[in-house]
Amino acid sequence: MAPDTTDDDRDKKIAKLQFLIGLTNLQTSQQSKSKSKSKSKPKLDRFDSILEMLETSKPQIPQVEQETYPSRTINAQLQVEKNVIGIYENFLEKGSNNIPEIETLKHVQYVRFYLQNPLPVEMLGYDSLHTWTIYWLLNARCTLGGYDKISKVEKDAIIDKVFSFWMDETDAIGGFSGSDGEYQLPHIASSYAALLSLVIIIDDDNYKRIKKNLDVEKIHQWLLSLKQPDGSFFMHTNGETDVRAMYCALVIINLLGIKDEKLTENCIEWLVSCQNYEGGFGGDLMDEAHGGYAFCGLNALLLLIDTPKQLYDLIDVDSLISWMVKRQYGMEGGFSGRTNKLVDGCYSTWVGALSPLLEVVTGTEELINREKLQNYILCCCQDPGKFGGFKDKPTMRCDFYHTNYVSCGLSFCNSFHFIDEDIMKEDGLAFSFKAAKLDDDCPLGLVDPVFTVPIGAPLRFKKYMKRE
Amino acid sequence: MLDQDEKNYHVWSYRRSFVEKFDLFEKKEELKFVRDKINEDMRNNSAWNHLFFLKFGRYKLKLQKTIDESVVSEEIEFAKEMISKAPTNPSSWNYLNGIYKILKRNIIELKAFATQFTNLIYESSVSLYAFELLAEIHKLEKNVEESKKVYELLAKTLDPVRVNYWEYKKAQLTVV
Repeated sequence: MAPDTTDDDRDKKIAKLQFLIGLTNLQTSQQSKSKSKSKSKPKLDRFDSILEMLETSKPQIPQVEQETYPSRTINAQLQVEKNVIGIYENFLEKGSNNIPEIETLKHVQYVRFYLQNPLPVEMLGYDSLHTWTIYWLLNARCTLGGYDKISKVEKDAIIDKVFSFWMDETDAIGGFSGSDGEYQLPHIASSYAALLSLVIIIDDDNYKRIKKNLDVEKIHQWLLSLKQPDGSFFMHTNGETDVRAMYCALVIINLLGIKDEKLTENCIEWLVSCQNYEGGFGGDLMDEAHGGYAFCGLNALLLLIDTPKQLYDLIDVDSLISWMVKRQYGMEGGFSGRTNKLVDGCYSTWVGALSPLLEVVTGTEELINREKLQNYILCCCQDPGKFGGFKDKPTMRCDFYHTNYVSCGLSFCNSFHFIDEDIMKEDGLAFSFKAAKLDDDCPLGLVDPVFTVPIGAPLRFKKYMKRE
Repeated sequence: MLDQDEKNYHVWSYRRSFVEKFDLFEKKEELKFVRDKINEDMRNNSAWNHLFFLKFGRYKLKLQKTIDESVVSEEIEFAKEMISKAPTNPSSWNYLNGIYKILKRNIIELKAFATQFTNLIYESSVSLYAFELLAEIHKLEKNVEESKKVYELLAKTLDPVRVNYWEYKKAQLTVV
């Protein structure tokens, strides 16, 4: 590192701090935009940052252990480190002008192509994921800067498509299934994804149509039928129970305004018991701590409590933070989902969203290392060619799931979140998150860390649902 | 399926619910299976989690009120032995810390053990988990200055990717 870097770092920190202090006096993130100052040389910054990563990080597993106790975990980790270092070194050799930026245009092309065209036959395996596919592509498009660019034609088509998965064969069951094929059941996760798509596209023009089609009472009855005495929810009739089902159910309950005592009974007790000895959350009581379940567990709690400080009375916040920051690997920069597993771009959201949430809870400026996560995303999760989309790691192919969750993660890298106290009192904690960009030049949209849709969209949807 | 993917989440989760349902916590074959898995790959965290469930699950599920001290010390010794073999392995450190956490044991008794892995001269046995534990121990001993030094070392030299976190931990020391 050059000796003047510390001064430079300090200047950057001071500038960011001044920006943060200035922001607390402002009412909305829109106003704050004009106040923020963009960094002067982002390309050079990233070059230095990658160089620092390579200079300061050691391989995760020492040579002695590699030789004495060889294992599958060690082999897999060494392979990833080798690939990633190769990629970083390659970019560094090309010089500071060739460090990858976010290639928004090609990613938008990728997303729009699959949104507007029938899926190829090779994607038959996605058949039970129809509502997810729509949500992933639509939300990725918003995060990549297209939230206000979705046309009426597209919105109408999405509404038609989403409601083609609605199922209400009996009076007590009404929800969305993953496919319009035979033998499908309404499913909490499919319904969650269907609802999020509607949350994204609802507007003055279509809200009446959405309200007319959405049988809220049936969904309410159906969720009650899935509720278990221990507090958990079946994913579908006679299905499995896990933290994911709980989170998806609570998102639906909150968005549709059907929160009642029966639905929320024992939820907190059950969720709290899923925080395991490592500090993260497992899918069920005493399961292994996992990034996806940690995301669902923390957010499910935020959908149930009134203020962020209440979290301290329920879970071990410090050990959750300790586990979360350990998911980031020094050499790669990205996150793993579990202890001793490999980095994967999708955890840029599952673990990446925990950071802004826990920064708000603890009142801390920054917990994870945004800069290094961004290095991983830009250098290792996007293809250098002309085809868009994001992926898990360099050796993998791009897919819809990763395209959504990696782009959300990239947005989290370029923003910070805060709570609007008035909204918190009026509409609940989960709806009160606002965000601002750290760098005005960042083309990405801001993402809500609880609902993973554009910031502000959940509250707007909730209000439309109340409107006549 | 575990032969193909030793860390398959759903397989381990199913195995856990099976143990719970048929009360196989103390079944010798199950214990042997999971210890073999750990010996095969000390970094198989799913196996560590399963071992934790077998040993402490009945207590955590409130099926029993106390745990035999001999079981506890045996598991502490097992974790320590595995840490000595691979000092940078987070799975075994988390297991050790996890036992202390759920049983609310005093971590100060781990001071001498942790210090074995904080000598910077022996690079391959240096573990940031040992440093993290040591910082917590200093804090419990009300030695805030020592704790602060450890966090600074982690932030600046040993673990720069987590600089923000170590700075946060350092700042927490002075919060009442």
